[in-house]
Amino acid sequence: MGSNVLNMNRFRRYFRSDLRAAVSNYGITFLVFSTLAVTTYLLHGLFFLTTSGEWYAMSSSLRIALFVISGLTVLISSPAKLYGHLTDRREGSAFLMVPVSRLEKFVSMVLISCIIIPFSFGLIYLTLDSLVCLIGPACGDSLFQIIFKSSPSFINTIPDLHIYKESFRSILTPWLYFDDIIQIALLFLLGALIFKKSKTGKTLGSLIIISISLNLLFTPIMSLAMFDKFRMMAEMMSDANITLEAIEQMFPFFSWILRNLAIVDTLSDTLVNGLLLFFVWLRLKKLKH
Amino acid sequence: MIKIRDLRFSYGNNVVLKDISMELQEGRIYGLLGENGVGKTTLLTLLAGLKEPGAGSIEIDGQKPFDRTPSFLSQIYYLPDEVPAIRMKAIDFAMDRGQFWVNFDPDKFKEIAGVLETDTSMRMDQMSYGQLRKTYISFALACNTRYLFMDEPTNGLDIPSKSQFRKAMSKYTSDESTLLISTHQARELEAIIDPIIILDRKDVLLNATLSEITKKIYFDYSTATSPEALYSELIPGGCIQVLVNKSGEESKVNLEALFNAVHRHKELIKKMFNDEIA
Repeated sequence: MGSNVLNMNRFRRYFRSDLRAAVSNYGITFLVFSTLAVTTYLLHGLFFLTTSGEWYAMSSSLRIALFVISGLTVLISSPAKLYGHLTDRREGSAFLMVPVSRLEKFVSMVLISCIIIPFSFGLIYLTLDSLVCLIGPACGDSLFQIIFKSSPSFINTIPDLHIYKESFRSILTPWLYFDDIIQIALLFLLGALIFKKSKTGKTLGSLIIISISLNLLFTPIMSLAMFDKFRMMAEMMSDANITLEAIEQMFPFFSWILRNLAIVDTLSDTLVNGLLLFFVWLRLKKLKH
Repeated sequence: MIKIRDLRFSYGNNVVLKDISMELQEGRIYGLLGENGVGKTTLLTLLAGLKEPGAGSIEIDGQKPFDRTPSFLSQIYYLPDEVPAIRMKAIDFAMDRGQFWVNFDPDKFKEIAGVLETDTSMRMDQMSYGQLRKTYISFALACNTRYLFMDEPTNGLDIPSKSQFRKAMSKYTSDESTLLISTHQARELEAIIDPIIILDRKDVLLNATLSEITKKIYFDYSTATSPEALYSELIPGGCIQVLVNKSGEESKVNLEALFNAVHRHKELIKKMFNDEIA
């Protein structure tokens, strides 16, 4: 039987079995959403071909919107579909009873719902989109090119940010979205393990309530404590004559944050993701039927 | 060996099990009897590690079930009263799940499924309830675990299947295995269960082997009724009476009559059998 904590051979077998179950339970939905790049491109083109006699490719903005919406749908619906049954005794206690350690079940669950599903979705969707754009020239730039090559131009239009432009640009690079993607998947995985019914809806509702509550709690505190400093700093940054050194001497902490937004973003996401992983682990440990 | 000490469990304010203590020996098929709501399923799920005791302790071969360690889980199988219809062929399900139980025997699974007349090439979500249950029973027995807990295993089985189930239980459980079968259909399992545990609300009324029971209690199948009977019931061709065994004569246990007698004379029965233990 080996270790009660981690046995690689057992984990490999369990992960394979868990993945097979995921394909069986969510495979068709996953396939429908990840191939939307092709199906919607064809449907859109065919619609215009039959109505106006010409083939019109979908605009980039429409393709981006569709990618984001379908990606979010997969991200928030898959945990409940794959692991939602764990809270339902009538669906069986196989997950709890199978002789595999809690750590192995936990790692397999997190790998599948937070890494494999979202990133394979992204890979398939973007690859198919690239193929569509390769075959149909009217398509323009592929989503891959749009996401990974373009720099967010709107930053140049915000004058207050001229000093820290590069730092702001750095947090908009697609690589930094990865931990946010994992975070969303973890939130909905936790929701799937906590709520007994309407898991996705209740998770969304809870997130809205939590964010409103936190805003109501912290906005007045932050405003009272730091409003003057923020205003002064913003005024100084908008002044083209002011030197970076002067700002950094006056506001060393804020300046450090603004100069290292990517690090701050990654650290805060890592902290939140760590907490979410801990809660998922705790929920698995305390799961009863 | 299963050791239960002062076990307590409640759903909110509703106390289901209160200070339950008992020991279950190896190599026996225990029948767990009790009225609705006395906590039979709760006890089974506690033994399987699906629930955490509120107080007291459960030890199975020195391990706490709720820790749900792989070494513990590989020694037990729990067959619940409701089983899920998975979108898989029965044989694929067995091969996929069985690989985690070290003693799982795929040939035995196919053999038992054959005895229970279950088509293992059929998808489980397309099976009738009885077929599905028989698939799970085949799987449970093929796991060859030291401890097997079954909750109402004959529910949903037709008459021939119940007989096949008894045959399978007798043939395919090893001498070292301990089985605990919760049932309301005592008569159907009479031939295979021994010892008998009768659970009452918050108490164990009886935990004794058939031979211990017949030493203390006499089952009279004659036509003459006795005023000393703990319980009597008319049956075709006469009546069955449950009496205190004063002569030491052996008799055939009737589980339903025993159950009713125990429920009518709880304190007397507890005293009779607890004195024996003491």
